[in-house]
Amino acid sequence: MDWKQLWDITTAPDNVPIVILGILTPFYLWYGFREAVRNDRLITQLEADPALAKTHHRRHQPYHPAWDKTVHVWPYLLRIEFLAALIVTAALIVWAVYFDAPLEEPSNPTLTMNPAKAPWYFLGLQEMLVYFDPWIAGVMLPNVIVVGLMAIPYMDTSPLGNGYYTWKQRKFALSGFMFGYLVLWLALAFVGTFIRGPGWMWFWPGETWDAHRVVHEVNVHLHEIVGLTDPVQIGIFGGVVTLGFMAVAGGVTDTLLRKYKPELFRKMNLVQYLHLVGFLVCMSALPVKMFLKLALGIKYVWVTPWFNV
Amino acid sequence: MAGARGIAGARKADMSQNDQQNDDDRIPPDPIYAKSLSGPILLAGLAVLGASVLAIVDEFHFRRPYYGVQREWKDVTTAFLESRKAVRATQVDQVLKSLDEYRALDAAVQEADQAAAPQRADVQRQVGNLDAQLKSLLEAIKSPRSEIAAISYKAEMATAHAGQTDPRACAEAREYLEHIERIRADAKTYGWAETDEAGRPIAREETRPVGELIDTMPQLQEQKAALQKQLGVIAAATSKATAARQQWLDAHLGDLALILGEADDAARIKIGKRVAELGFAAYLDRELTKLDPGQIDGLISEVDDFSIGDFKQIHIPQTRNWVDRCETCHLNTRMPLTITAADVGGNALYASHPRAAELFEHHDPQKMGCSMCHNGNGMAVTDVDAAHGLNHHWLQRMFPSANYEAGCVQCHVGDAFLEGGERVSQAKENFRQYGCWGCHKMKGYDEEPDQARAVAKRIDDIDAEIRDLQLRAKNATAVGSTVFDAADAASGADSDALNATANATVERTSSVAKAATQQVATLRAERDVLASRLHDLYREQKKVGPNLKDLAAKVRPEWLTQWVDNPRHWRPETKMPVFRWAGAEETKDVAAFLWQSSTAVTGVERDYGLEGVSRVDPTAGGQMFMTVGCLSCHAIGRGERRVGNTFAANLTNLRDKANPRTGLAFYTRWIENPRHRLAPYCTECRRDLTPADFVAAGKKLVFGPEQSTCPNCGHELQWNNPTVMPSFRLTRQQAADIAAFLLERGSDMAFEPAPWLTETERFARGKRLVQHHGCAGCHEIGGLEDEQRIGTELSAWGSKPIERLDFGHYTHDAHAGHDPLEDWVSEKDVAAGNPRKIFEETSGDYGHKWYNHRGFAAHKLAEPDLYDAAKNLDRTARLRMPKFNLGGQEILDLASLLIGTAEPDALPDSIKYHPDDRGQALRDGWWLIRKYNCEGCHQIRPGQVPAIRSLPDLFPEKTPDQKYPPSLVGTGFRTRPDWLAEFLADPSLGGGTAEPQSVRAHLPVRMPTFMFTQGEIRTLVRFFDALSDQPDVYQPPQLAPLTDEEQALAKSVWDNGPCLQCHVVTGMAATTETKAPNLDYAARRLRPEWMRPWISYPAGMQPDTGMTSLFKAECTRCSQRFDNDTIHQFEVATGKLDTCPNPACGADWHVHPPRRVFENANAPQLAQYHGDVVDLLVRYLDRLRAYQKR
Repeated sequence: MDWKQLWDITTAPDNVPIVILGILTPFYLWYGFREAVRNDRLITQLEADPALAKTHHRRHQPYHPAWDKTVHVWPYLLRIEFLAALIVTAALIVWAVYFDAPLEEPSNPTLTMNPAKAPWYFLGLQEMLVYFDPWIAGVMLPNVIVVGLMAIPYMDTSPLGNGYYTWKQRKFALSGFMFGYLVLWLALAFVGTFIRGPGWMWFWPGETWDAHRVVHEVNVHLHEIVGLTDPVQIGIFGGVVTLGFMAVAGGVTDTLLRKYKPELFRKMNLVQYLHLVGFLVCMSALPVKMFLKLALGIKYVWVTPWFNV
Repeated sequence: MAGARGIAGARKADMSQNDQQNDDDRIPPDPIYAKSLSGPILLAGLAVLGASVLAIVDEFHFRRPYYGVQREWKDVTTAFLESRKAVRATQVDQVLKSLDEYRALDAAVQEADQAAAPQRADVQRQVGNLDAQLKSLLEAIKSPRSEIAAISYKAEMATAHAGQTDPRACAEAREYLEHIERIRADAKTYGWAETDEAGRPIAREETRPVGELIDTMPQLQEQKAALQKQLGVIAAATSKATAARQQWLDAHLGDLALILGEADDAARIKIGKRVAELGFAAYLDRELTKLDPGQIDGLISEVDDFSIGDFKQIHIPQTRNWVDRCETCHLNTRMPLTITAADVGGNALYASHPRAAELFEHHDPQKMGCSMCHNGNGMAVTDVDAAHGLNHHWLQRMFPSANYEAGCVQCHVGDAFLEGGERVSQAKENFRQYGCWGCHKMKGYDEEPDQARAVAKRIDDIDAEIRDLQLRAKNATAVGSTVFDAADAASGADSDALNATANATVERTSSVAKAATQQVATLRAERDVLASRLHDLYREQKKVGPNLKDLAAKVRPEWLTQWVDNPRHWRPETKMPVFRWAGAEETKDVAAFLWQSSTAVTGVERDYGLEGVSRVDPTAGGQMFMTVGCLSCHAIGRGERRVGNTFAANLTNLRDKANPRTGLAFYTRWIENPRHRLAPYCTECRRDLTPADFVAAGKKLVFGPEQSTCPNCGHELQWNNPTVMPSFRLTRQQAADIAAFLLERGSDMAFEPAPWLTETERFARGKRLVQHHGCAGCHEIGGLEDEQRIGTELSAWGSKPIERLDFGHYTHDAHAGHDPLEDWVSEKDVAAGNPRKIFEETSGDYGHKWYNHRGFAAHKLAEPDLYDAAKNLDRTARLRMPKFNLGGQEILDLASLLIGTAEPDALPDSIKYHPDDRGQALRDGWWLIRKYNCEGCHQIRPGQVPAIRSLPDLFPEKTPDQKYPPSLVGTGFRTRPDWLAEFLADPSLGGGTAEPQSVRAHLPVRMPTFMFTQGEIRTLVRFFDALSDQPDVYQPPQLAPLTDEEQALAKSVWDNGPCLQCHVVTGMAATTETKAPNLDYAARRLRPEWMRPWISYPAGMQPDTGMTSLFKAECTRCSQRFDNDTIHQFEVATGKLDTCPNPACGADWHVHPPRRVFENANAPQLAQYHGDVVDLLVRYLDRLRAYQKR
């Protein structure tokens, strides 16, 4: 184990945010779920009692039936935010004092660094470049992410969970979010930071990053396995496979949604519903492609002269 | 927070009311309302405050380490300056008091001062009284005077506004004036203290009207001025005496410095010589601090005034806005006096720049900054590593102390020798001698082949162009004649028209042909020039190793293979590196290839005859070898018995190596004329030419520049062996004797027979290996004449990104500071008894890391295959650089040279060295001086000791100067350029082997013939001119012809004088008494303006010369005569050059030149001669040339 290198990577000023994220994310996950479980218990209790279910009282801990359902923003919320601002300010000052800007030498176009890494918050995107061509990974998918985030309020109109932690009432939304954020974003950023070394090769943590490491990796396109050579056939084949997958995945998603979240299907209009399904399919497509690439060594499924998927 | 609590409180009160109403007082308070956050907010606020304090402390303490440095600097520097001041003051005081002259002057000052004292005291008393009165008076009238001024203003304004004629205004004004008069009439009393003549105090008082008091004031002031003037008159005598003392001090400051520097006589004479060399002002600048206590006080107050925390920075706006803040910590860098680390408590941080005066003369820090030379990050001041550029991402790391001369290379990569950059100059010399340039291109080295290729290409182009033009001319003529013939053939009316057309056509075509012919002529002229240049270039290009085309004739077959395997086995000191052959078979292949490629040269056998030599005499040869000059480059013997130089091979035990059959003949031929190539090589036909080639063309193969073109293709031939070894103009017999001497001894080393040398199947394999290892970089090898360098270019290696340097599997170790060579010691150092662990020594330079250019280069030079370690590589993929026998210091210096190389744009052009004509002449010259090892025999610069002087047999201790090959310091001023050129081309001046020496026939060592090309001769002549600050073009002065009377006089001096006791002229054989050059050549050789001072006072120009002065100097003002010793001592004692030593006279000899006189009993008629005898002699010698010519 190359502990020194692991330490160097972990303590590099560039990587401080991701390390902090690595600590804070599990903490808040734990905290959020702890609170959610307690609140859920309370909600079950309240809902079980018809008298209480109808009255307006808060649905979260600490709880007392006589307490106000809501409290004023000023000062009860703002003072907490002020406290948080103070703590963060102090932490940022100390951080700024002890970690200088990680400046490097003037860039030299004839000599690129190896590995050349994006800032930590873009490492997820950079990691996606391994699985898709730059147009897809660098332009299309980021746009899908932005548009998808923008579309959430239009698809998810439920007021439940506002102002309190709950799992029970928001299972679907939370799962969707956690999949997108933890798996598709954070996990990829972690891979980009700790796993990807020189040549964007896969190094397990503790493995020495050797720029001269030689690996034997066979990457083939899906159509090569099938044995197609004609570009038109390849394009059509890839299109059929990709779009077919989308269609099948969409169908499965639709079936599952109807079965497990019938109220969702009922409340949504067609546009909302189709978008929801579309985004879910897109999200699920990424891990599928990652699996194809990392486990089966399939580079692209759909190869055309204009883009590769 | 108070608000928050207030609202919360209110809310609570509200709730409690509700609670009371609801009759439910068991409801616990809502924690959201009840919990106060003031505690955490207070803590967080304190944390922010703490963080801010931390930020400020960090900013002013941890990020500004120079605060502490500057504080310490103030202390140590002030202490040092104070100590220096004290020493200085005491020394000056002591010395001054010991000097009679000064004491007299000082006494005069004191005396005058005392004489004036009583009078001065009285006047000063009066002035004091007046001052007291004035002061009191001023106080008394202050208020009324100001009131009067105010009322006057009102009075003026009254009439000014209303007009002079307005009665009311006039009345008003009058009133004001009356008011003023009233004030003036008021009586006022004031008092003051006076001193009477006896010094008793008297209290004075006066009461007078204010008006009078005001008017008294200027009178009193006038009185005071008069008294002060009187004081001046009284002090006049004292001032005069003081001025005289000061004048004397100014004039003798130099003497004082001398006396201060050294106390004893011998030391003072030494200083005197140094002064004579440098000139007085320069001497003082360099050797002594001229600072007096006052100036040191100035420095102390400067140090004191420096405000802690200030940046001291150099900003050069015109040079890329360069900013260097190095002096923020290194505050004493430019102190005008030398401060060593020992002076300031051993901390080099506070030392002044070493050799500052010398280096800053051409490298003014104000114009060039610090980091231009030293590298590092001139702007950073936050910590030491940052400022020194040791951050991993800073590309210009500061050169460490072991390699600081790398900074010189950045600009001076084109200079072979740098005064003040001795170590890097040595590195450059090693780069040449070890033949690094055979594989690596490097600016300045071996540029001739490239030039030759370019010139040859241009010649080819011209040839093609000429062919084109000739064709065009021919065609034009043909067209013309065709048309003409047609016109001839026609008849009748057509004929006239056709004739006209034909004439016009012929006119046109002939002008075309004429133009083409003219162009051909121009091109031919250019071609001739180029051909001659190419001819020269072929002569100028050299290789560091011997020509292997002669191998078979030269070496013993059994010897060859072991030499290829490991040259240091047989000759431990050889510069040939050790190659890493993969096994004995490869060695045999290489040896076989070399052997076979050399026997392929036809006609060789026959030419190695020893015609004209019947028997050889090794004893005579040995004598010749030891004395003629071979040992200025070569060495012989090992260990204690070793003599000679390391420039060329050590020739011990040559019998082992020489071919028993043809070796003697080969070496004879080689010694006789090493440039003689047996078979000229044609670069166009790409083969060695045989006599048959010449016979076929109707010519005979004769060595020499006369037949310099190929009989087959007309191209310039390579006639010369590419060696720098000169010819000593030995007869064949002498050469054979020397060869016999060298081949006389061998070692007892056994060599196995080598039948494989002739196995033809090895040829191809061997050739591949030889090509792969770049042997042709240093040796000329048959069939591999056109091989290119196999190594990487090093001219800008230092600018190469570190990522491009392949540390192999040591990359991580180099980063982490694990050094596999930590205990590495060079074998050469061990053999010399000086083992140095250079990597351990220098490991701290970059914080124990060696992932940097210095680390790469030094490790590679120490173990060239280091970066192949643990690699599983194909035979041809392995590193090829062989292992050189380098000492630790040599490695560090070569590393300096390499890390100093930089891309041309790495530094701004404006600060780079752009030599003028003189600088260029010096730069070009040094390359040649080093190339031909001139320094082996001659002293080129003061202080340098030629290697040949260390030969104990030839030059026992205390050898007089004139027995050595002459020192060339000042040659440019001494010799005429045309003569120097002639001499360099042929030092025997036509004497050949029969009369091999010309000017200094008395020396056993002789100047060899280097077969310089015209270009080289021009460069050398210009070099010597430039070295002595002489202009390019020499204009000899016109000397007045001798009258008959003068002619007779001069001849009497010539005949009676002792010149010919040491010197010789034609017809005189050199004897053991002969110590000096042949004077036949004096007129052609020497410059009259040099001869004059030389004859007058030789020791003054060259302190160790054997030439004595025969003349005395007579001051033309006081007519006193002085011998040269007197003058010299006077000069040393006073530092005054060219002043009459007669204290009563003291004439400036620049204004009144002294004349030289000859006091010799044998030449009484000279007593009547009133001119300068030296001048007469110079003119006589100049006439000698005229006689010779006749």
